Amino acid sequence: MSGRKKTLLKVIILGDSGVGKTSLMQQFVNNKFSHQYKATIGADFLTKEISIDGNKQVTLQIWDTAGQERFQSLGVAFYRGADCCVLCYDVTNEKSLNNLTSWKDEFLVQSNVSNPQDFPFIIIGNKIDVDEAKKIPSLQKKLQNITNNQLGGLNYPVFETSAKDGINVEAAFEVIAKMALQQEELNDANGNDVSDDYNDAINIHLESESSGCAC
Amino acid sequence: MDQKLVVNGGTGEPAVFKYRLLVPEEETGSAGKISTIASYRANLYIGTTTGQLLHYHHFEDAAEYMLISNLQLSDSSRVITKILILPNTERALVLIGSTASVYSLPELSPCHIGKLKDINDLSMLAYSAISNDSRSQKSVAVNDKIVAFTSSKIRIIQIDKDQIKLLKDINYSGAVSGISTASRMSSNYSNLVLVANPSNYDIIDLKMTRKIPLFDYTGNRTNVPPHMVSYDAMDKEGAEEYLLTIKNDENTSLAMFINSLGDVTRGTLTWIGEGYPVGGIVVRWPYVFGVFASSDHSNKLIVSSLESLQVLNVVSLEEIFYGRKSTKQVVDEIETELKGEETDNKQKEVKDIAQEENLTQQDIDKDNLLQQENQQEQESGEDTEQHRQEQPFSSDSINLTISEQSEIFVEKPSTESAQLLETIKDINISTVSDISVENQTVDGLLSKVNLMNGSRSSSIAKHFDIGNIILHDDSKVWILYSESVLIQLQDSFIFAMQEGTIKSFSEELEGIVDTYEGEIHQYILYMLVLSLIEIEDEQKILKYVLRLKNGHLVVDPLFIIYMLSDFKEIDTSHFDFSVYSGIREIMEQCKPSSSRRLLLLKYFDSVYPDLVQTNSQTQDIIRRAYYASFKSNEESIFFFQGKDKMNWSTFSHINSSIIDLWYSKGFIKTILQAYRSLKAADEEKEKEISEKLCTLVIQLLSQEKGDSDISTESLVADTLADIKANPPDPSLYTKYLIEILKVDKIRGFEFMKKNNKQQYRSVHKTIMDEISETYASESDFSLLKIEFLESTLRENKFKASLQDELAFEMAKLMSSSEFLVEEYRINFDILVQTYKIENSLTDSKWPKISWVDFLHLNSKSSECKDFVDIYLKVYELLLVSTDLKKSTPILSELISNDELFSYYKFVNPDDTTVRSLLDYSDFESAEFVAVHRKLPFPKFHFYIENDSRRFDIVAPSRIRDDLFTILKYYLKEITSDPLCIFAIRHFISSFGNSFFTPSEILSYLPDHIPIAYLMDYLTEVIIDLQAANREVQLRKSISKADATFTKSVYKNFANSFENGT
Ligand SMILES: Nc1nc2c(ncn2[C@@H]2O[C@H](COP(=O)(O)OP(=O)(O)OP(=O)(O)O)[C@@H](O)[C@H]2O)c(=O)[nH]1
Ligand SMILES: [Mg+2]
Repeated sequence: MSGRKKTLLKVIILGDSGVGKTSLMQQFVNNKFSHQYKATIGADFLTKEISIDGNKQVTLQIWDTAGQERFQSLGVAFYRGADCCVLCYDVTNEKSLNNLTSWKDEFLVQSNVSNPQDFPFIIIGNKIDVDEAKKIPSLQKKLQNITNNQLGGLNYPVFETSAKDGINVEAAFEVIAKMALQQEELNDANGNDVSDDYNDAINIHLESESSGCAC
Repeated sequence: MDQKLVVNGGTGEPAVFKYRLLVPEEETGSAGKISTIASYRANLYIGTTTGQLLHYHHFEDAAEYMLISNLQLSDSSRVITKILILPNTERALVLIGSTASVYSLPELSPCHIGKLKDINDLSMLAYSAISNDSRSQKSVAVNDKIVAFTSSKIRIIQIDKDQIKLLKDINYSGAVSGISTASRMSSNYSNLVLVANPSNYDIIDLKMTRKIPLFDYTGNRTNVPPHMVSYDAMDKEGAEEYLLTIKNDENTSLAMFINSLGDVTRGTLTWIGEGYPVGGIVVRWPYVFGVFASSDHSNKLIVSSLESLQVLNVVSLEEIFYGRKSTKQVVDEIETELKGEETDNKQKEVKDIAQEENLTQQDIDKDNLLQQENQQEQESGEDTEQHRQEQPFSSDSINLTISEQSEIFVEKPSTESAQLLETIKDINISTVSDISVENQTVDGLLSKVNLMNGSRSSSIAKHFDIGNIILHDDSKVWILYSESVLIQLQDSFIFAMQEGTIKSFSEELEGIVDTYEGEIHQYILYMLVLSLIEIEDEQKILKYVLRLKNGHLVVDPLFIIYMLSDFKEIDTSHFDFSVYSGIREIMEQCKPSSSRRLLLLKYFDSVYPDLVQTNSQTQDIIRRAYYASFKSNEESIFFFQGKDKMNWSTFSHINSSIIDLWYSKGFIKTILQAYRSLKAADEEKEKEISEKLCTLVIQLLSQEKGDSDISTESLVADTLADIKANPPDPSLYTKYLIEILKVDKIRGFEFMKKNNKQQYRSVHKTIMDEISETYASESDFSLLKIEFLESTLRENKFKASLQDELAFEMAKLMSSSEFLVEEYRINFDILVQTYKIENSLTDSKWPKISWVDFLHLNSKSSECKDFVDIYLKVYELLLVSTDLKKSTPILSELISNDELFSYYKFVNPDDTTVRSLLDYSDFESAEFVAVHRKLPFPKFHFYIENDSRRFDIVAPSRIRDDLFTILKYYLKEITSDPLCIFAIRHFISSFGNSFFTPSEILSYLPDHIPIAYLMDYLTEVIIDLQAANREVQLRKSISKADATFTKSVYKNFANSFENGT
């Protein structure tokens, strides 16, 4: 699809609670940052228009979800129709890094994307502004383990950002947008208009038509 | 009666809602607790926990709903959980326990067409309002289609007036509640159903018979009533969306928003620390109303915004509905109370319970109870009515469960304070079909007030607010509805004026004005116009005040004139028109309108005359305003002859007042035009108009009034043309002409001369008389009158009376010293002297010239021609008139008293006349008088072509005497001047032979007269004598011959007589 119609790209940000998902989105869209932590409940999105490669205008609809586990059952609703998924971890929180794989799996299970093999993911390691001492020891190695080693590893682009100082945030979302656009075009090409079809529908056995009712 | 609930605006302005009690407690108290409510037109149906169905009706003339029936539909142990109104068939499905029966509306008589069993919930099958097939819409009208949710199936059922048909069954386990969605898809009826089972929400695609699982809503707890609410997302072009509530944990819940495809449409709404909206959820764009029963067991209404997803208000329903502090506060108060008193056991009990703020334990109890019930249900395989009553998943039954908790309070406390607690009810919120609530405040705003006399007339239509949000506790029903937009706008307007934010308010009005209809639309339009006037946006004012509905202006032109007019000429205090009272209120706050004359005129140009034809008052005012606005005759006349032409066919009251207006502005030229047109158009009042016109013209001519646009010349010309074209009656004719003659004699007389028809003769005479009377001393007038009479005379073949009149006029003139100035006298005398010299007998030329002819010949070169002319004219008239002097005493007086006119005496000659003429040196006339006894007719005459005078025969002796006098005079002159001999010669040759014998002549002549001068005479005399001699001889011969002839004839006769016999 060419630039005739406005392209809406749905991006979903996943990751453990407190890794800075909301902060990243706020930094990217509103250039704001708050030290205060207010856990996201449910989900919300912000939109931002950007141009890719200097010519193509797209609208990014960035969905910020709750990292807390108790909200995860809602996920399915938010995941549907995503064009790109951002997996976030906190460079000071090793658990959040280790959880990336399960976030990805959860996403693929719930979202029912048509091409799980090459669906665009990107990894963001946030809070790089903090003291070196607080960071996960030998982070790069551990990161590589996750991205490269295992079968079905997270072999995706990695950005190290600081939502606080605005480092790499813009760059990361630019790549996110490009990848999302590719996915969107792929979907269009395959005629997979997500909104037209329920990939996740379950057929129900139809009761034989009975006349009258239980009177 | 109504109370206000102000919802914080979030992003925009605060929204005002009102609530009022629809059904008070007394009425429902005996019928168990309210379990469900539905409305149908003016009917309100209330189902109770004791199987009663109360039917209320709102009669048009009553303020309140009235209970008209109370039906016990089942035994008192069963709960009515749902009343589903079927509008097409006019039926209601009433769900009691798990059985739904059909009743007819509105009176609720049972229809024995079958029952639906095993029902957990009922919902209408939604259908899209967008249908391109109108016939299918019609066919829809004969039945209703519903979705019934049973424990194992979702059933699509069609209900006709006389039968129930199952259309489709879809297996679905444990549906407790559901709604059908009106997704705008191809089919007329919905294909999708949103359904909740005890833990999850799902979407069921009816067409494809498949399920789209959504998510868990219970937070892994039981006893969570699902809420699925559909609404139109106004920020997404009205697309249908659904709100689904989710319990997160004990304290927190949220709402998700999806469309019928299951896609999330907006972020989540969260209620943190508020529990779960057990009392229900209602969406009224852009607000979400949730009723929460929180841990302290008080009811809260929490209002959130669908736009900002923020909580806007948290309202204690206890406080607003019962005027009471929250339960917690009550409990705290009780505590305080107890502290100061001796405690007894019962009070302690109360305290214990009251202190038990955390209801978790009770929740658990409740859960247990429910689990037991569920087990029972599963065990028995089919539900019983008894179970249904406590079935917690139907939204309608939730309050029942919680009510049980309330009962805990009822049983235990027995003190006064505890009784207070007893009355605390759980409150539910739900929507019903629209209910109208009369709004007297709006009626007040929309009542009309007459700006002139302040009289009020209430608006014919009563105004109702429409509400469909119902709140109820066990026994009372409230309605919650938006404050009428008018009242909100009214307040906002006054607020905006105080704050100076009228511009943005005006923009707001502009944005909404067309979203309303009828009176509300009109009212807002007036507001908008007022706001635009306030911010002086002329372009927009014009745009909106010209709004039409059915070809009529929506905004009363009088209102516009009233607001914009600075015309002194328009006295707006007399405007007999009404505006909405509320608008009047705002007008009073508005700054005094500044000059908008041009704007108003532009407005008039657009509305006049086509758009104001129906309202004569308006038309009149606009016309007046127009004329008031004009700065020149030119503008006025242009309008008068153009757009306003049709209004000048009668001399109406308004036209008369417009003419007065012109007078005040000095537009006399316009007035003239108007009178002339009116005169021609309004036959009935023609006389009146003519008189007014005449008066005006005369005032103008006499310069009593003036208008720089009117030159006297053109006024005279126009007036004469008008008189000629439309002859007025004689009295007006006279008035006109007299006045015209005063300013433009020439034209006036010209006109009279040309218009000298028979019927005007007497009129003209009157005019002349009047003129000469008024201007007796003005010789100019006499001259003109003379001229006029002369022409009349000529055209009337010299009627004698006219001659007299003319003579009189001239005599009068000549007698006036103003005319006959000394200079004239001197000059005339010079002429007389000149005549005497030039005509002296010493001059040998004969015949001599008469005085009159001399005057005529010499007047041109004299300095007194005007006088001479009159002199000669009078002379001519004297000549032909029989007795002018008698008929014109002034003339005879003149002649006898003034030597200047002595010559006139000769007109009637007497014995001295010849002698006098000789003295006057008028020998010619003397000789003529001697012979004819009349003066000779002048060679040059003014009036009379031929001398038709009758000459009497004068006795020869008399002639001879006079001639002799003349001759003697001549002879006497000879003695002093021999040249007078020519006179003698003339005399003798003129008269010698006719009147005297030669011997007489010769005897008169003196001896010394040279005979040569007598040659002619003598020759003539001798010839005469010879001729006389020849005649005598001829006579003799003829007599001789005659005698011979007679003799011969006689002879012959005598012979023949003799022979013949
Ligand atoms: N130093 C630093 N702190 C950050 C950064 N990004 C976020 N934080 C802080 O980390 C805390 C959590 O950030 P959030 O953005 O709310 O985390 P989240 O991922 O949205 O968390 P949930 O909503 O619970 O899923 C906040 O106190 C932020 O101030 C960063 O780049 N550097
Ligand atoms: Mg967050």
